[in-house]
Amino acid sequence: MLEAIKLKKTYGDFEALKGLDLKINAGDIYCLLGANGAGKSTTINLFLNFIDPSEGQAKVNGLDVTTHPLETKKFLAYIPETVMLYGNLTGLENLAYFAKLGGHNEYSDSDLRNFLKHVGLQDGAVEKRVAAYSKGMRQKVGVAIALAKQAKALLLDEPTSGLDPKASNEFSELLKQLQGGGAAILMATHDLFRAKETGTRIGIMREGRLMQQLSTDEVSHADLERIYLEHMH
Amino acid sequence: MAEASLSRVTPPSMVGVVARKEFTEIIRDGRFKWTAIIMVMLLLTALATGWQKYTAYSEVQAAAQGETNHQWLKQGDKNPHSAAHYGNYAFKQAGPLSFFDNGIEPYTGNLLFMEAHKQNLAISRPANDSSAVSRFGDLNGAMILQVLMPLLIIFLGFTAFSGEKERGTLRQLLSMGVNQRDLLWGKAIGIGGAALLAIVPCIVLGALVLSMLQISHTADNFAARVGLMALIYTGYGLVFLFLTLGVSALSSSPRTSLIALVGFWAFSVFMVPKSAAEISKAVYPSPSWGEFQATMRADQVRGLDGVPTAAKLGKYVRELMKQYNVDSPTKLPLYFPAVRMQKLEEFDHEVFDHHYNGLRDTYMAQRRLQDAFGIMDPLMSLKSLSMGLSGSDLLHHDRYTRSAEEHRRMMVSKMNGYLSKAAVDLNGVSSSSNYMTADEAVFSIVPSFSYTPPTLEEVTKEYGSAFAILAAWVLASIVFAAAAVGRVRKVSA
Amino acid sequence: MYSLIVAHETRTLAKTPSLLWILLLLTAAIAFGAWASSSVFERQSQGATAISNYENGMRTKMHDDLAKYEEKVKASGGKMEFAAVNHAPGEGPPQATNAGAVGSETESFAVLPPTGLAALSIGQSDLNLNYIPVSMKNIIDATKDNEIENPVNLKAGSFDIAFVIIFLLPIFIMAMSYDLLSSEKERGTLAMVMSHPISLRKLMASKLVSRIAILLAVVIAFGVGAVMAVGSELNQAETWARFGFWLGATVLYSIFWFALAVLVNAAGKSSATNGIVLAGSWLAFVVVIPTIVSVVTSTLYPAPSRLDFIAASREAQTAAEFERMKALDQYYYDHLELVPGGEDKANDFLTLSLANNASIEKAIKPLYDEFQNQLNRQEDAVTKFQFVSPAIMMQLAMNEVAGTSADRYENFMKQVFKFHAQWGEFFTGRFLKRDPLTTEEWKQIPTFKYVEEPFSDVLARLMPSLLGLLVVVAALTAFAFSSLRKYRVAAR
Repeated sequence: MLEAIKLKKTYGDFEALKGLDLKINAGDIYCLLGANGAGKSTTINLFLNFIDPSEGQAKVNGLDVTTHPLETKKFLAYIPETVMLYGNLTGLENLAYFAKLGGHNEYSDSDLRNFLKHVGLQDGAVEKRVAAYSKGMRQKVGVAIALAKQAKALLLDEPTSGLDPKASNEFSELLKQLQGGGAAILMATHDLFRAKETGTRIGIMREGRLMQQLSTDEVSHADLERIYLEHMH
Repeated sequence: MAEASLSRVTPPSMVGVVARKEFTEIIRDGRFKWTAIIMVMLLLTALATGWQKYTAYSEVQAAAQGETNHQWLKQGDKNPHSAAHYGNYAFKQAGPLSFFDNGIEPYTGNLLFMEAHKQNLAISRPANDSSAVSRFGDLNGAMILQVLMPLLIIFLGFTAFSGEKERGTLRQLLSMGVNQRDLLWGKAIGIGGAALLAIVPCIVLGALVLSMLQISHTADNFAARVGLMALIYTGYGLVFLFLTLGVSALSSSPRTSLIALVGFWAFSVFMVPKSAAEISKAVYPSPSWGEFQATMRADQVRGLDGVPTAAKLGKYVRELMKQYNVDSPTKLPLYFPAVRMQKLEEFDHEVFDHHYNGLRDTYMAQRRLQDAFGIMDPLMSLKSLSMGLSGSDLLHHDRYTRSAEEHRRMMVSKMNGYLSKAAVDLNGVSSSSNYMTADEAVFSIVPSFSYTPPTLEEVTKEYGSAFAILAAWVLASIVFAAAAVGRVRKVSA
Repeated sequence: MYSLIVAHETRTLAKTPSLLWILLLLTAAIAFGAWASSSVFERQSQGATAISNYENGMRTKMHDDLAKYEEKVKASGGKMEFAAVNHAPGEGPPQATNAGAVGSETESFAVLPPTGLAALSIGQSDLNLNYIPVSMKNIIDATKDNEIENPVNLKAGSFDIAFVIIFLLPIFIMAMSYDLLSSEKERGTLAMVMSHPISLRKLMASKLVSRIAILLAVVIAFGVGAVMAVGSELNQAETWARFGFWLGATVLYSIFWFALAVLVNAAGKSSATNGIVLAGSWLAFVVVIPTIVSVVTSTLYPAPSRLDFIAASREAQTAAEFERMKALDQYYYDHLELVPGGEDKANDFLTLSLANNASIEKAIKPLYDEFQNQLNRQEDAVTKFQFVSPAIMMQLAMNEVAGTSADRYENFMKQVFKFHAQWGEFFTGRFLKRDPLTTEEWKQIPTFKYVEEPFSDVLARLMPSLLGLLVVVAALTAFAFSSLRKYRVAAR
């Protein structure tokens, strides 16, 4: 579903991404680990066509994102570190807007409410302006948007950083549901524990290179931490 | 020993440190460089064209006044009253600093025809002889400093606190124990210094040119005028500087401070002056040309007090005959037609005074009302002061038109007076020989027209309140900025 | 998709309190502008009426004297006689029988009526006298008069609707659009939106449509309201055609500022930087460039000094006097009531004075024409330079639409000169032949009726400004939208 082929991104002399090859299939939760500046966000931005690749290709559902920017986005959902919404609108209004932006005009009001209920947003909050939402609530709306969009691939950029453990856990549960629905998920994160718990595969990045790929089944928490720290030296 | 010398090292002045950092930050900014260059170029262009216009006008004015004065003397031998009809022109002098601020000069007539029987309006307004774009405003030094300087200060200073807030550096600064007052003054000095960098070269250059060309002797207290001018523009700059710092301290982000400040700038520079003018017109309506002429012409016939001029004249003639103990005006020891014409002239004086003074009073009342808008807009006070000091305001124009009218009355009465005595042997003679001619020697009893513009003292008296309002603005903006910066600690704590 | 984003943007805007303030200020400004400019024309028309009434009253009095005299003559079966020119009324036929006295001592006012939409733009009409006194006297003297107004107010300029549109509307537009993209980028919603299948240009277009729609709805509603309130001749198609052009120009001008905001946003800088750049551009386009154009045109084509003009006219006057008059004549020329002896002598002086007038006029007419030509060259230069700033194009278009342009005034002055000739012709012939005027002939005294120039002429002058605006707006919009291509949603 998500595929990077010799993907490179340079800013002047600086190489942010040095030829990334990556393939994430439906039902995968692929966790990208790495320090700040390792190239995780760059990878996600490239898949979103927010930036142009210097070399190589980013493909979504087999389509190059640079030549099919709009088609590929139909399959994508994006959840940044903090899901930013229109503060003056309610959660429901935000969801309605984004769902329609995603091309889904078919949802009724109750359908939309169901999405929000499904992701665990309290009933009272649905009609409140998003300006008053906590970060956890925003992330839930982000997932609801992905659900409503029926996204085939999710791009998550440190979505749980700064969330309390309970909210973080709830978020992981939602991801697993999406995975179960057949979505391919790419998540950039610093959280080794969460990566091991939620992910199916893990990639460790350093200075724009993918150093190692693992399957979460193969490693223990302790091994993961050791391998990660080894790469960081 | 080492310890003692260490303790004697004075700690660096906080204000100086902050000021130096602000100054360095600003002048390293490429945007500042360009803005400053544009400012300097505009200011220099404005001063140069202003100077060129000023000298060109002054030359033409002096030459034209000399020419018409000469024409008066060389009008050829004729009856003295005819000479009064021939009349002369009064040309307006340019204000001493009008090359910097030409004020209302484009909108006031600069020549006035002085003739027998009629008080005329000053005509020939430069604005009437300009294209429609001229109404966008004049490019002169005052305009640059009034309009562009505040915007430059806003651009330099709107991030002073709001930017540091957004970047989080303000918390760090305050955690270092920097005193807010030092911070405010430091930033004020740093930003003010950068703004001056763009303005001072022009002022120095202007002053150099001025001292080289020595127009200083012609104007009253020239140096004091220049000094006061520098003072009021500095005050105006300070108002915007401290408002900018205060608003910046109150705003949560640079964009809100920018919007608020640019909004205030547009409000004070464009909205208020025009609105104030419209409101003053509605509060003190002034007549149009047609209304002015119609009522004046009617009053000339009807008499202001309701006694028709013809009746007044009859009464005067009776009194005159009684005084000289004669039974017919033809027997008077004066040339009666001349006496009669002079009296009619004097009857008109009342009517003219009533209408022209009324017009002037209305204009002055409108201007004072507009000055009162200085309470909500420092520019209103600055404008009045700047025009007053430049000699391009209503006060100077009024002095010119009044002097011209005084001259006219003097000219007519001298000619009629001469005629009434010189032609006394023609009184009562009704034949085609009942005229006398006079020559240059007679015409020269009327001195050439010249007038002294208001002194600096008169100017400061007229605009004392505007000065007070501007000073109050400076104080208020400093108090506001200090209060706003004082709040910063509470907010970010 | 468009309608979705337009609806969304409109809803978000509607919930922004600052928008409400912007619209409120805009409507207040339009209303204030309409009131202020209509009062300018009201004051002028009152002035024209007052002075016309005064002068017409003088003529009516003369006419009544004439009618009485005619009656008396008819009753006694005698012949109408021709009066001498005499200020002091006395015996004999009334002054009104003397065509020369009527034609040279009373004035008829040639009035330039404002168009139905004059309130839209005052232009130079607060400076020019829109009612010119016409008599047998030297007409060029009459053109020296100006409309009077406090020079302090003239300097401040009018708060007319043109000011609201040219100066204030862009500020409001920039306040609505300086952060079109930058605010969404700063808030992070742009990335959320752009992760959906929508192109940036489409998003931008939709954002613009909603803003333009809101703003123009207000401008049009209040523009129509202002015209209904203070306009006149509303039943005429031409008035509405003019209004249509006003609207078209306003729409184009608004789009210019929106497009500029798009272009600035496309550079991807922060909202604060966008604000600075836009405020700076506003200052440049609306204030600095027009004043520079004004300086440049007046330097390239300086109006000859009025001072020189006066000195030259005086020269001509002196020459004419030396040529035609002896000192004695000069004296009586000024004071006909003092002319002794035969009444014919007084008429001779009037004849002389008329001839004198004519020769002075002839001598200074070339100077006057040169003066006007130079002003025209200045105007032409402005017409050429207008394309450097949409504000100048807009001002010229507004003046044209409102009928307050220099060209319309010039056209009026041409008609005034023609009327002056007509007036002189009517009275001079009768005066020279010493034909007593009758009440029957009195009816034929020419009156001035301003003939509006053909609308096609107005259109021809309007077109450069409008087309210029159109081209500039189209080019800027295209450039702004194409530069969006380079816009990066994510920072590095």
